[in-house]
Amino acid sequence: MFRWLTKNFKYLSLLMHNTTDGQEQGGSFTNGTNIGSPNLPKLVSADLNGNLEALQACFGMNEGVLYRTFLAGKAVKRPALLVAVSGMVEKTMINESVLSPIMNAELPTGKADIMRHLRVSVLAVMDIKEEKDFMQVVQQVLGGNAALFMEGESKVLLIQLADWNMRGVEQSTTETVIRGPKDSFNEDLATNLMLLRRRIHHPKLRFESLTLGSISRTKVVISYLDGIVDDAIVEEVRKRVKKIRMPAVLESGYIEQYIEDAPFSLFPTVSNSEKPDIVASRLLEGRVAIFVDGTPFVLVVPDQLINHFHVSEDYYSRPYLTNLVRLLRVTSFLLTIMLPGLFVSIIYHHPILIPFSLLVKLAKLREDVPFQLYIEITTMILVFEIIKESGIRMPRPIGQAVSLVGALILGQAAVDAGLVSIPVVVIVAFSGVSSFLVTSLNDTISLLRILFVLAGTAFGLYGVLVLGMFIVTHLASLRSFGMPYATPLFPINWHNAKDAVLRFPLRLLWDQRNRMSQGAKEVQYNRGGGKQDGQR
Amino acid sequence: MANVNKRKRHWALRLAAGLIAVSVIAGLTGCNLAELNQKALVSMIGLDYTKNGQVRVTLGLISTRKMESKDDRAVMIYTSEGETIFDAIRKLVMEVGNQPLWPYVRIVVLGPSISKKDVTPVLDFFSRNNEVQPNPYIVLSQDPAEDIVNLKTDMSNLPALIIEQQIDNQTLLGFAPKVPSYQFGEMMFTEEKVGYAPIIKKVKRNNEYIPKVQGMAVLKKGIWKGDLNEKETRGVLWVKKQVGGGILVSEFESASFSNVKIALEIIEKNKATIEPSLVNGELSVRIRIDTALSIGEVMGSVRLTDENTTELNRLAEQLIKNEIESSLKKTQKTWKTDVYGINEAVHRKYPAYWKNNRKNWDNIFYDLPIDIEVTTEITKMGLFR
Repeated sequence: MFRWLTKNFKYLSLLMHNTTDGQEQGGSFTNGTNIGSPNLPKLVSADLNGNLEALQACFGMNEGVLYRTFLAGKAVKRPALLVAVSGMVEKTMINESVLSPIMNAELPTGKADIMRHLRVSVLAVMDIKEEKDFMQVVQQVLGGNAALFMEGESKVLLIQLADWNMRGVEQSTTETVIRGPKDSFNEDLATNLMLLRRRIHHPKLRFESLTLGSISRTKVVISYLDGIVDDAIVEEVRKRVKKIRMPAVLESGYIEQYIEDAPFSLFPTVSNSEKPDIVASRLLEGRVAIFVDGTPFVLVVPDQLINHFHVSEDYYSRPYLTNLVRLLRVTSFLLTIMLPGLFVSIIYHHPILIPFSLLVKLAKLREDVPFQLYIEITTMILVFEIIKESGIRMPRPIGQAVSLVGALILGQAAVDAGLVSIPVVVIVAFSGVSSFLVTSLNDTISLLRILFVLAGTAFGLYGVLVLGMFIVTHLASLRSFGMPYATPLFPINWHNAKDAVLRFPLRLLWDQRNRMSQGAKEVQYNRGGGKQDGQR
Repeated sequence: MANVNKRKRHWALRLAAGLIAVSVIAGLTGCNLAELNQKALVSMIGLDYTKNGQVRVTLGLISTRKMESKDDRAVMIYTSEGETIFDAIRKLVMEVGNQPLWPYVRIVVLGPSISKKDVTPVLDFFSRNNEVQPNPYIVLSQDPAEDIVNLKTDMSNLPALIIEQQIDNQTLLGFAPKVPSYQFGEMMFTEEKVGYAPIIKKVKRNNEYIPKVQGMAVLKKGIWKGDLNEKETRGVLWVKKQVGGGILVSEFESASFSNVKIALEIIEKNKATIEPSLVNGELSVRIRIDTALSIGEVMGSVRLTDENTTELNRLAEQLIKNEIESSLKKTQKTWKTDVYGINEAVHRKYPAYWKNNRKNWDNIFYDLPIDIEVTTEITKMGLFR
């Protein structure tokens, strides 16, 4: 079923691509999009005033773009122009390391390459590039560089002085731990890469950079551990990411939806994390991380279902309680999606299965409730989703008070008024609470739960079973970047089963990881019939 | 482009077909649903014949409203008469308003008007109906079944639960058999229609009647032949391997145990084998019983040594043997009913013999020499030494 959906989706997306084919990714703003004026020079000219006019035409009315014309050199004076965007560069550094040295410099006379001289012996800045392409210069300026134009030179010096205010490295709000590092990624790409580098001090940690979004020009970095990762996976990631055509990338979710294997599946085939230690451990397992500038959420591929049941603390704390909690996570995942469905199906179709005394109690409690059970339970599930959503969206100061009112008072009042029976409240609340043990599958869980209620209402346990089998079959058919999604459960992979539902002691696990790092070809994953060219 | 359109239509068609299928399936289901509160839970059924040959069905319906009241019975009694059981039950809708929910029936009481006539016609309903479970206990009563369903109990406001416990906990006693309806059906749907069921009585207590399960009713040709008392009942159960507990007590007439009463507890489910042997066309049967006992109580003063423990074993064996023989006196010599299942053992071991003599089994059983061999072992003294 999903296969033909995917096929049609591909076909649709092909159609869309055909209509927007003129939009060249690597090109300048002027092509394809309607931004920018048409008469901009291709290259930087030697005429300083010409450059200034071209820049002003390009930026137009643009608060914050700074143009500083000055005379460079102490003895031999040459007109120069420094362009930068306020707030994205460090002004004191410009004053001290750029303007002041250039103004006081002894400039060479004659035919000597003045730009080279400045770069080599005047400017005390680490990162300097020469550039001739005008549009490139404009982009670099918008990206936080200062651009130095000189009269008579058809080159520009791009001086990297980017510095802007960013949220610091703070505790993660989505993935909280008791034991383990508390830091999380923030919105700055450089900081994020730094956080990862501080986890893995190895030259083989690679960061491949590219720019996505024809308007937003967002920096995206593909990161992996060369030698551990399977090259085919990296190649597949590159291929998929480069295929993306869209005007703006505001969050890694944009990329996720373009590169995932099964866009129509309820299950996510790309995982994300905002904690550097988790991303580091995933890289050590031979996965690929995709950083996107402007978001703390880093994508990790390939993703396996079992990863969603793992938490970094599983590895940091001793294995005994960890394994119990992991089993609980799996059970509560099953319970949270199936419990309401099972309840409905048993009450409607198989009351025989209920122990006698419980049945009498249930029958008594259901006596005065006006609505059909399945209406009641679906409504309560939706109410739970409303409370959850409002809890997230509400402004923080009123958030707690209102969610308390929502959850406690609403539930209690509904029961007191006889609108809902107590067992339904208990079941919905329990399955709601237990969904948070597997947070990263929350979307999937919420939808599956409703599906199971419908199946249970319509066909009883038979329906629940068939839907369950359908889901398992679907899981077995999914793959993420060539890897079977449900491994090591199906296909069974005993080697990896050491860290699947249960976690074996670390000595045994590290044995496995060391073996991985010995050669790229010995990657731990059985590719299980996945096509080598990564065809979806 | 035509191809593209075709594919597009194809896609839309499939989606539409899928949506229609789902909505149709969802729509199909509504009529089958019945909520718990729209059904009447049946806890106990009593069956009688009326004078004009109709069936009178008495249902004990559980009233969820009254479940929490401690004084009152949480059961409402409804009686209905009809040509057949099913007919009578359907007619109950006129009074109750709801469909009865059958799976929770615990007890089926057969009144004397049925058991003295023939029980087999009424049993069909319990094996045919898809909602009735195979596990409610069958009990026979000398009083009309209606009266038994009407009884009150002290310990629970659901009399059916108490009667069920009375039968279940016979494993601690062995004075009444435990016969679920499927087993009763198996006995009654054979050629001989020989079987047994526990007897329920009403006994007076504080000016009210309460139920009591005691003894065994033996049926032949589907008709209640006669009763076995407690010890005789256990005699049968020994052979049926159904004695899971109970007290053997006696004042032993022996030199070492004079003036002493000893209660021996049966501590595990007994073993029993029936070994038929055919020598020169003469059939004989040996029954071996094997059980473990513990000394539960000694009233009087005696010092237990290895020697007199062995002697005690022999005495206990004799006790068990007496129980079996007293039951045989009635079943074999009076009613010619093979409730022990000796016929099955013969059938299994001598199929050819059985084929020739099955029609004559009653008479063969009547003359059958039965040798009983009991082995007991006292494993626990009940005291620390």
